[in-house]
Amino acid sequence: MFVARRLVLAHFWLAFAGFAGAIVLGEWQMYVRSPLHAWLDNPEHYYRSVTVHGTVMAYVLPTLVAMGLGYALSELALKRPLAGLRWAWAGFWLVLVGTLMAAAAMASGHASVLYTFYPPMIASPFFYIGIVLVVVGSWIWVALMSINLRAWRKENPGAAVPLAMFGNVAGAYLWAWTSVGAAIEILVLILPVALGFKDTIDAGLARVFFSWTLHAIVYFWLMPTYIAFYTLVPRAIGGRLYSDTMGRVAFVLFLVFSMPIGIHHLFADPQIGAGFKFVHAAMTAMVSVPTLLTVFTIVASVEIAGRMRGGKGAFGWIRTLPWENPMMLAVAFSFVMLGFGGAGGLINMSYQLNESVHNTQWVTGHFHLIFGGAIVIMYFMIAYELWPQLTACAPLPARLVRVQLWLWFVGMMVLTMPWHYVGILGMPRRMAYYDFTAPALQAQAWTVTVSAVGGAMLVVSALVFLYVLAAARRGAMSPEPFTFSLAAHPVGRVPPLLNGYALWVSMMIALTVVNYGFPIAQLAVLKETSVPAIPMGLR
Amino acid sequence: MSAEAVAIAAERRWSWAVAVVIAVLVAMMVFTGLHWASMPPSRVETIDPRTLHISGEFAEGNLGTTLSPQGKVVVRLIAQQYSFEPQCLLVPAGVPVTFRATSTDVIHGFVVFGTNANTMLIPGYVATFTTTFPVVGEHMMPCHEYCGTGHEGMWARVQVVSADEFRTRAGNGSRVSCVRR
Amino acid sequence: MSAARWSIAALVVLTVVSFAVGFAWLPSAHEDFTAKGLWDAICRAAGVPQKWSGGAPAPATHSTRVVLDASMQRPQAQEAIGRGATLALNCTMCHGPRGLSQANAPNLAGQYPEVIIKQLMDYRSGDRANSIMQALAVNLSDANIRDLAAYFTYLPKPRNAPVTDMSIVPALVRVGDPMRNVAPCAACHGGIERKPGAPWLEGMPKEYLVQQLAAFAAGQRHNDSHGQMRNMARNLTPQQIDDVAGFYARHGEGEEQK
Repeated sequence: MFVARRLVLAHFWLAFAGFAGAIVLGEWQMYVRSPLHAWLDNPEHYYRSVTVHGTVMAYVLPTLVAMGLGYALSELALKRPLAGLRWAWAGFWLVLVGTLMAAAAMASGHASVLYTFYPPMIASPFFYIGIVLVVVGSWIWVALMSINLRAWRKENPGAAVPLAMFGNVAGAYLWAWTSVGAAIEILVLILPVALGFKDTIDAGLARVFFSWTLHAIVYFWLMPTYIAFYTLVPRAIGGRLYSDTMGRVAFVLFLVFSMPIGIHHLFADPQIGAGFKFVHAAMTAMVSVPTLLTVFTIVASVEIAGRMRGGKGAFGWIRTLPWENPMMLAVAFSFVMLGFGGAGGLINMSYQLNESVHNTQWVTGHFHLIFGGAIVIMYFMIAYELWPQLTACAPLPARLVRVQLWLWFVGMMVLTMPWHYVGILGMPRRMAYYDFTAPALQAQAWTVTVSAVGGAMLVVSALVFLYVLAAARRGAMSPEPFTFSLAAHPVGRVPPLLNGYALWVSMMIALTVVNYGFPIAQLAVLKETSVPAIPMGLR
Repeated sequence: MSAEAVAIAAERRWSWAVAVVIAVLVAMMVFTGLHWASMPPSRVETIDPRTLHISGEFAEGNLGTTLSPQGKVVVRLIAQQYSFEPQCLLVPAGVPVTFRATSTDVIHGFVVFGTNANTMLIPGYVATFTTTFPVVGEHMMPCHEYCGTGHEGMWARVQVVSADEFRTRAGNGSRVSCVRR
Repeated sequence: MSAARWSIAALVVLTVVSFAVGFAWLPSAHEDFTAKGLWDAICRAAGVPQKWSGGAPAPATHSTRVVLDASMQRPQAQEAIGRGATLALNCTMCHGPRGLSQANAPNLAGQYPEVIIKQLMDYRSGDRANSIMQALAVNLSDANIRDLAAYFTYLPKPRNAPVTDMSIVPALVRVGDPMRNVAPCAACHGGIERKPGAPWLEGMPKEYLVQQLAAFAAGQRHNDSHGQMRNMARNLTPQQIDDVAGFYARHGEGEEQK
């Protein structure tokens, strides 16, 4: 790397420090509402904790990881120093200040509205302004990724953009557009009320804007993981990437289809017509295409590794895979969790099946499995992979890393499977406590205890992760040059369509306008749906 | 055939498999939508949450279950911090029941345990959906959306009685509930 | 560039087919949508707001006619407080000279303005029944009521000693009784959170609180919109009512007397 070492480290440390705090809160939540603990004396403490946990895990952690990885990739993949280092630091400081501001509002109990905001509940303006600062910081990153790619193109006219950078910039554009929904919600609808200029707010419209962000944000979280699948995994396990083109196809499909589907979060909402609900459901099916393609490509790439190591027969290659290699273990765990989580996602998407699990504990199980499981386990691997580059440390202890990954995988499964189960029974989300003495709930009590145990394993895993990173001996040896996966068949000329974004970004914007334009426009002109704001945090 | 051509052919086959999977999933949604009449709650209807209690469909006297002379069963209810009104809903078994509900303050929602009755309640909008409760029994009906610091206390109940018993209790056109008064 | 054309065409076809299925084919299977023709069905599928409810419901009975408004909660000018103080001379017999009752009437000192406004308006309209209060309220104008609220809000509120030992706080106040749909009292009446319209209860005479909870439970008092309080009170045992009332009425070191 050239100049971005400290910058990337700063992003990762801030991300993982927030992650450590938030995961402890998550486990605390599971513990206090399980039968192991008496009811909290103050239920608001529970919701306060949920707000912090969600805000850090959904906004701060993935944004910082994507930013840090993006800066690293633009040096490692483009092989040129990061342009705009000062701006990048400015973005980092904005994220830091925003995080601290939101944290202060949440910690003081003036923002217990959860990370999903839910107007007409209105929290302290500092909470929203803090989140806006985090997002604005990340917009600087988006601009820098674009600028760095452009500079590289100028130096390498007509060359194929390295796949890692191609995915990275796709993720940046995806984020730029998806964050617009929540940005409008906060800046136009919520902040005027939080600052006292208005008494009313359209709760239905706010939910529509939020859904624009809330589903596609998942694909923003996912981008670093998919970049790791395509460009790190095959190399790390001694295989070849089956197809470079498929990687590009997957990234551009995410750009097109991740946005105009968010209304599937609103299947049970009364402010959206059935027609748009169906269109969004059908397009949600389309967004599983890039994931299904990725599953094929990565499994095939892993198979290549197995065969290169002497594996024979239909399944013999599985045995010869380098299972002692943490990356191998991580990608296997990630795929198992992606499989379960994805299957659950298909159920949520099918709008009739959704009725029986909508907004129950099932949903919590689903997104923890996908995000906390499949995605975050690859964040760990990204950090482990980059650490020698960033700190010039000695090789990380593989054994401890394997223990950490096992704990994360088992912990996440133990945490989320009971949630799926009780969700089907109808257990609601986000309750500070349940009366397990009631006959209707008694049978569910054990599941919460099991989840609390799973959560404890996750906390231990997170601590091991931080220990491995912190204990790495800095400057022990100079890092080897960083490499990315090689394709099984050398990448020749990439079709211009898959070497740029113009068409895909246009499709992304056009489809968003088609799928969101009418619902937003018509709710925005409805005057009578502006309802009184309910300020939170009055004592 | 070169190795690369083999690889591309395998990829193509998989892409077709993916297309089929997606097509089947969407076809299932369309099929159930057409033949089982199962659609998400979808009517858009607005209402002013400030004056719900003074007059109109969601004034207190209109809440509860009614049986129209044509045999249509309608449950009207509101959600507020931190209870549903009525707190206990009385419905017949085996008959389509139409719910009409809204919120007087923040976003709420409810799910009836062990059934598909599940909706969000957004202030300013009326949620309408129709469902059938197959068997007689009692279900819990919690609020399933965070609605403030008393959310954990927002539990209602649904009592499903036989269609005959329901007709006896609601036959005279009055509104009924299972709240003990 | 045929690949680009092909991609665009595929996306357009996908979008058109999805819209056709969602807006025409699926609604065609549902009487709700098709009742008024195809165009109407498309509008309904698009979510154009309509009145869907068929048949007017039976005449409604209401609980209160007051619409709580953010303007009721705003602080008032000094003159309003002065006018309110004059009007409040009528109230001293029961509610005490400084809004602190010696006669088991509710304390009014430091009460939130929207609470006083709402209750006086309900007395005036007869939605809350009390022979003395109705007789007094019937002559008050809206401006009088706002002035009175401004005055009582300005007086220092009685406060109980700070709770140092959580065990003295009844479970109902802290955590409620979820399965009986009783939310924590403190989630609306302060402590955990304060909901506009919910009164300040600390220092209230115990007898008054017991009486009101019993009246809510029996439905004799019904000026809480949509049974907000009746739903809670109905599910309380007499013992729970006594505990809660006793807790809020307890006097202590922290009580301010001016």
